Amino acid sequence: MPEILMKGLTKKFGGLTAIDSLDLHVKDGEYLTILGPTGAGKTTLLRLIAGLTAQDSGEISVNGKPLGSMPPEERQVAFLSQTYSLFPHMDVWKNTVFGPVARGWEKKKVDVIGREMLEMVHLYERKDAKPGELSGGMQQRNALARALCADAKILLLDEPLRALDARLRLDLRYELRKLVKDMGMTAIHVTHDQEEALTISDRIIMLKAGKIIQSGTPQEMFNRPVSPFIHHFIGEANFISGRMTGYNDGHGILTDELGTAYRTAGSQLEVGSKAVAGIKTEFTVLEKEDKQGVNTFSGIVERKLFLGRFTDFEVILKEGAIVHARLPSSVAHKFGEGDAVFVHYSPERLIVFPEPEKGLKSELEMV
Amino acid sequence: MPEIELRNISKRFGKVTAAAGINLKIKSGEYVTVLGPSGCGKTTLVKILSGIWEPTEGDCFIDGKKVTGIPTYERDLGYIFQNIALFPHMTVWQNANYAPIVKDWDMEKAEKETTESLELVRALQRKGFKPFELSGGEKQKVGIARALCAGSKLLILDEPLSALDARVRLDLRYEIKRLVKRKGLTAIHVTHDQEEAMSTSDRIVLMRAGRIVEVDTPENLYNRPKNLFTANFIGEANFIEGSVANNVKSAGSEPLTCLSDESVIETRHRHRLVIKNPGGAFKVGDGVVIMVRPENLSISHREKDFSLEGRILDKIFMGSYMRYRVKLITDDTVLVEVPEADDKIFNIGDKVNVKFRPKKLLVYPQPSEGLKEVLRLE
Amino acid sequence: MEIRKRISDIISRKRTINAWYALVIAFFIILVIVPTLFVLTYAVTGWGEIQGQIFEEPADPTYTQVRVIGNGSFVSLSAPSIMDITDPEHLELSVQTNNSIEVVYTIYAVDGNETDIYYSVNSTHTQNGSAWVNVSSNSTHNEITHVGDVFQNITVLDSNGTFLASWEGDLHLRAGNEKPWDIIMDSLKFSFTIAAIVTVIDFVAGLPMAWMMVRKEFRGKKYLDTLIDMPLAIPTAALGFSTALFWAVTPGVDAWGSLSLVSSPMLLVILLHIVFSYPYMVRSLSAILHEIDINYEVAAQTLGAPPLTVARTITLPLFRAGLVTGIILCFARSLSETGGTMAALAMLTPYLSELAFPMDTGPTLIGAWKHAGGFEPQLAFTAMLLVILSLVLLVIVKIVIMRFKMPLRKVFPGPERLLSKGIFPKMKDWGALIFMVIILIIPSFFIISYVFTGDPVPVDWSAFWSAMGYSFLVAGVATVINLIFGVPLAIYIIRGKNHILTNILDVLVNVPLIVPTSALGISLGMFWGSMNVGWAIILVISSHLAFTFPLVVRNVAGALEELDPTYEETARTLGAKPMFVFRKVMYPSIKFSILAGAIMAFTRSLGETGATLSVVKSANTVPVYIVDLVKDGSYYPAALACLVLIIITFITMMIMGYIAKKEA
Repeated sequence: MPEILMKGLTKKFGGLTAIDSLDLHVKDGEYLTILGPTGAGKTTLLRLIAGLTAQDSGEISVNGKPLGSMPPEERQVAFLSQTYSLFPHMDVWKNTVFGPVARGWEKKKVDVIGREMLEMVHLYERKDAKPGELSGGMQQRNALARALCADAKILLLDEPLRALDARLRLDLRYELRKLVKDMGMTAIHVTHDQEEALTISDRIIMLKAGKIIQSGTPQEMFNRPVSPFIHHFIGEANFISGRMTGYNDGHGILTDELGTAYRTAGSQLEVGSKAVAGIKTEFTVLEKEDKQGVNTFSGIVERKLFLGRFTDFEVILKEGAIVHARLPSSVAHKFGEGDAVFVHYSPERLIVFPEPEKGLKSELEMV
Repeated sequence: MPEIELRNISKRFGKVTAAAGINLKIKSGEYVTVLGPSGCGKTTLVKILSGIWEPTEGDCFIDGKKVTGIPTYERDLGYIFQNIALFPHMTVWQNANYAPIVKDWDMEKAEKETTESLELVRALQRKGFKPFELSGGEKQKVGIARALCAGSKLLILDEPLSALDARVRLDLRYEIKRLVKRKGLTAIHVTHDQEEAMSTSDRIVLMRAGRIVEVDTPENLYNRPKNLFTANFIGEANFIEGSVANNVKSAGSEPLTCLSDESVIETRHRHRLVIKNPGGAFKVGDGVVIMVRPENLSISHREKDFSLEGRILDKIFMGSYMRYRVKLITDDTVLVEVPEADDKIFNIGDKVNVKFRPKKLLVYPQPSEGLKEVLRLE
Repeated sequence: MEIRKRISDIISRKRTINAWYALVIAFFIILVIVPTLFVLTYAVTGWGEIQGQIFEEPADPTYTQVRVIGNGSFVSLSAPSIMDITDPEHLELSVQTNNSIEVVYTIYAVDGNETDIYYSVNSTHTQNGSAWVNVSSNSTHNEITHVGDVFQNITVLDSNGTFLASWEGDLHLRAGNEKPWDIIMDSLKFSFTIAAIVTVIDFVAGLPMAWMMVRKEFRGKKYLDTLIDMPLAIPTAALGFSTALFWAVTPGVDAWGSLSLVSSPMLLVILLHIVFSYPYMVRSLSAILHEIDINYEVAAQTLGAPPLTVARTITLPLFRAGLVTGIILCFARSLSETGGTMAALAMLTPYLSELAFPMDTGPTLIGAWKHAGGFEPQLAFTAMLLVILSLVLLVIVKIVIMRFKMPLRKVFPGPERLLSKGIFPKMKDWGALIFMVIILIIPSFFIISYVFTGDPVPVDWSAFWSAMGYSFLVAGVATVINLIFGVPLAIYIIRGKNHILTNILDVLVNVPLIVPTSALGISLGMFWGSMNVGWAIILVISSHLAFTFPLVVRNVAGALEELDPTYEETARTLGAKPMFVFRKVMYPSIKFSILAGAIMAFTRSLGETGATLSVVKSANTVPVYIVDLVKDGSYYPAALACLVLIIITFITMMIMGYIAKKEA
């Protein structure tokens, strides 16, 4: 049963550090997502695990056994690129049994396992088709069957849904997770799409500049981000900069430059220190009248965007700050563009962080 | 201000028909999105409109003027590309300044226009950079500035965000909408992303297999789709097949959403659902499909009116809400979305009741080619 | 099964693979690069001789005087030890006489193997005047005097045939009044001028064609595509002969449709060189055009730029890399060509009697000297210059083109808009097409017209078939060895981990492609000569190996570059060993390129004259055989041989193509 342990993993390309002394423990059967902006080192990490790139230092072990410089073909780690890399000149069947044939298994055994896997992904009747004739979803299933046939215990998925249409992606990400789970594999999935990460994973690793900046379940990542960057990357957030000016029955008080005080969630920050507070747009509430008294600010709806299930609002507060709010469309009809509204931040949802070293703006940059 | 009309446009490549008899009118200053799955012919449409391809049949009109046969460079439009296509050997400034130069504007006007456009997309401080030094989002911003510089009131956006990271995509789509509205442009935006379409456009043209399926505002397409494919493509939806049991007015036609008497649909395994807006000319015994959005369903442990029993198969955290996949006793599997606060109440394997609010259900005639075929995305 | 597994285990080991790559690289360095550039060492080892034979002023000839008085005639003949020839049929011997005389003389070819004897016809003279000895051909020997030939015997008779005087000794013929240095320089100048003109014409005519092939869709495009490559499949000796038949003024040779327009050697050679270099230009330009995202052009058009402006401001600047390749390939091909040039010039020679000594390009000069024997310093020096100049040129072209700034910011809206519309684009397309048909296709296949409309002459086929066998043997062996070593080298260049080494190899591979083959042959001959390799055929094969090797490597490397490495990586993670990955994943995707490389190498080898002629004095390959026939004036046999060679080449290519299709 595969369990992956990485210790002090480092990889440099020239002067650029792609992976920076990274420690990571992937549990058996876990569906782990590595989330991060372009250039965070996500793909490099996958390549290190697969043995396609050699690390400069550090060690990867599977089930306690260090892999060292073991060549990829001995690692039982299947790597799936964005386009699944189904061999274009082979049909579905040949693709599926590629691993067993490469290992020189007996023909009988190959036939049995190939058929079993193809039936599992409902592709047996298409076994003579070439990959080009398959739909995106079928290609994905074929690639999974091929990985499983090859006796792979660990599945590495490099943005497996990126090449697909947006709507199709919604269906296939569910299907992908289900198949991986049914097959009992350990999967590491790389993506830059936060919604995909939230919905598909058991656990999310947030990678930035080759380092893990947070690791946790989707709920933890969404509700308890450790930095403004993550707060803004996983879901969108509104931010306020200021200083902590006190604490009151479990809530913090943050005062901005204009002297406005905000009640925030609890924190460990010292009174007087510079801080940033952020709230997800989903939890930013719009109201017709000021019911709460606390953390409520009046403004004008500048723009209203219908997204289907949700409607996004852009509100300009009196002091000129722009606030985004995401409301269920069922209540959105109450507010129109140009309407005067009250914006309310629930204190529990207003999370406080120490002021980022390079300032908020550079912290939130996606590069 | 340009008004666009496509009249009976068809395009064939050998035996493949990319567009078949498309008729479409776009008002001046309107933001229209052409949406559809890969290969539905949406890009063909804008390529024909911009003169990159000639239609096999039909004509395009810009401002009432027939443009068939007029080469692209004389059509006066701005075009934004999926792969951005900034000229790699030119700086940001030279890229943006390209249209004024080839159009031979006088220097002053060219400078002013270019500066303004780059400022609008907040890229002026990058004007000395070469494209390879920019990030994906920045590149596309310059691409937009370059198209705006052409001075045209018609902007064509051909999957402008597809090549970008998910997060950058979100930020940029608002930017685009803001620019288009501020400059008062007529915009035609092609995309396969239904959320992008809804968030940017005044109207959406939904296409499939070379034909227009439906044209309407985002709200109408989401809330009151006239077509099962639309219902599924624009946001996720649950479909339950059944047949009309009783109480349906035999007369009348569209719209489906008009209030009418209650009627009852019998689902698989002889369970019943009450509908409050049947509309349409359904007779007792007609095969129908019920459509309901996941957020319009709710679940509860207790038995309630208008509900069907089911078992939770799966539970997915979606940020501010939870999504449950429930297998109903009708053997249909439905998605149910409830606010996150209820997180701990329901667990995988739980037996629950799924409530179908009669007013939120839409009914469609059973499609002759089968439900699966109608909903197919690829 | 067990053993196979063991073997596959062993060959998949990292150490085995590395050893194999090391072997391949060693092969490449020792058998291709070092021999190709070996001639440069002569600058050190043979400097003294170069100086003595090339740079120094020739010694003044010493004269031998013969005086005879009797029978009322007075003859005084003075023969220099060295005689400068400016016209091979017109040798000047100073004969003073008061009567009509006749001069009989013998000339030996310098190698002494073959004796060419020319008899003078009556030379009548005024009293006390100087006589000229006019060398004209007799019935059996068609050959004119050559630089290096030796007069050995001169006899003067009076008009009645009575012996008057004779002279015996060695009288060396020397070209013009020139030093070897001047001869070499003249030939190089001739070569480079031609190459430059050819390249410019290729570019001007090739660009619209490449544009049409890549950016336009029209009926018959597929056929046009094949047509462009046709000249590449025809051995250049045959091309030279065929082109000359079509264009040149060739008195006494009749063929239906022959234009008989061109009498200038330079023009004829240019016309010939365009035929076989044009396809390289079109191919290079279309390759890069393919790579340029058409969206750049579309984008510019949507911004209001008419097609001509787009081409000038967007496409051309993005184009430089392709331009460099195209220019270098054309230039190198033109510079290198030997057989065709020899054949074409030989066709023109009978007509050029009153012109100066026939012009030689660098390669034909090498061929002539090598054929004559001796001349080692001259050959080495010429080869050295060719190697150095072509390499320097490569660098210069690259720098100039990459640095050259196009007038981007200037736009001429009026004229460019006008030229983008109406009949101008059509004129450009039709112009390109007509150019291709008249300059390329008709001259290439004109030989067919000659074969069917010329006067038939019986042909000695046995010599032809033996030459054919020799050629196929050389081409076959060279191609097979190329495949064995070229494919792994290509894989290493593209997929190798050591980027410094792969970059160096990548550059080195092009060297034999750029060095003119005759220089390469001289170099190789010197290298293997210094190793004491005796067999001529081995020398010929190894020279063909060297200049065809890059064709295989380039083709395979090009295909590999296109092949997404994730396929191979995925295969590895699925449990496939490197050898298995090559066989099942990589090979199926690049086999057509391997085949294309093999075909190119094979046909190039089959058609090569320069390398063959310069590496050994007499190697009986088909192109050499054809050139010899043309030089002898045996046009009809030469034409038949060409036709058969063309047909066999095409059949070979078709069979190879068929095998490839069947495989797929």
